[in-house]
Amino acid sequence: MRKGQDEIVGFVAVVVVVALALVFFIGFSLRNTPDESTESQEIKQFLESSAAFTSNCELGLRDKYANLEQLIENCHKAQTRCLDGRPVCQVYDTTMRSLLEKSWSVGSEKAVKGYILNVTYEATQTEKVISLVNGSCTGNFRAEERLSPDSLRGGTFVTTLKICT
Amino acid sequence: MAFVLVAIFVFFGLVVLFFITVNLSNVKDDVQDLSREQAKELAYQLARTPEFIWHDDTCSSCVDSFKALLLKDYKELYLSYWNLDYLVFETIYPEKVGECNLQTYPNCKTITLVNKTNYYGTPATAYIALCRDAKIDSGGSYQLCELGIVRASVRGDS
Repeated sequence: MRKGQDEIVGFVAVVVVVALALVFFIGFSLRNTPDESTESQEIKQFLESSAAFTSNCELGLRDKYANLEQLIENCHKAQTRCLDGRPVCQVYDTTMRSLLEKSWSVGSEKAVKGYILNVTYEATQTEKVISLVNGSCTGNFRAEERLSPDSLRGGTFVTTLKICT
Repeated sequence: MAFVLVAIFVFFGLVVLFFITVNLSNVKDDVQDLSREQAKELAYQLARTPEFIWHDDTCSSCVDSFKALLLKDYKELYLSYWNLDYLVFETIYPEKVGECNLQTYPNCKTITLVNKTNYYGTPATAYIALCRDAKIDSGGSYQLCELGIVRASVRGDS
């Protein structure tokens, strides 16, 4: 009887020790998950740089080419067009798609599976300005947003880019 | 009971060994990550130094591509303290080809400022806007910014 009790105590001790070691190991592994802040920095830099990109859309005056930030503001205004007659929202769409495709190669066999870019206008309520989607965005992703204030109406344009891997 | 105790100690020993091995490999990865982060940050900070920055204060990522081109002739004077093995400004969009010099600029892709070794590891990169004053037919100029990337590798980084 005494020997049986010893075996049970020993067995319980081993189980407890194994469980503790596992909990400790899993806890430590979870704490060491990679920090994605540097990768999001890449998206932030892209959003900053693309906002300054000069498009081929002349707004108001000849030889006054708008950058993408100005295109967003004008896309939000109803029916704004470039001097050559193209709708501003369409120019933003095609230009931004070109910039995204040159920066991240998207495909089901590639490291980047897709992207979603949303531009919203936030004032008293949130309005959708434009949305660009390419590929599939069901797995992991990195995302970053850029705010640009609208000096005329006091709202803010929020550009959010989600890169899916 | 004695056997159980021995088993526990052996098991503990194995767990500790496993743990130390995993941890050591994590430390190596952390060192590489830190070095990469440092280089990435340096690449972005470089683009924001007075030697390269575009005169428009509202654009934090804008680089004056003409300043960068002119620095090719003065790189030893201005760039030596950065300890770089590799520093290149590259236009991503619109698509262009070839190395920039005073004859080919601005219809060129890359401005190579430092390229000291054949092997400089994987350079850190940062997106930038490469800006310049583009001339118009009627006289005068307008600000033209293109999407670019800066690639930099720190001396000794592998």
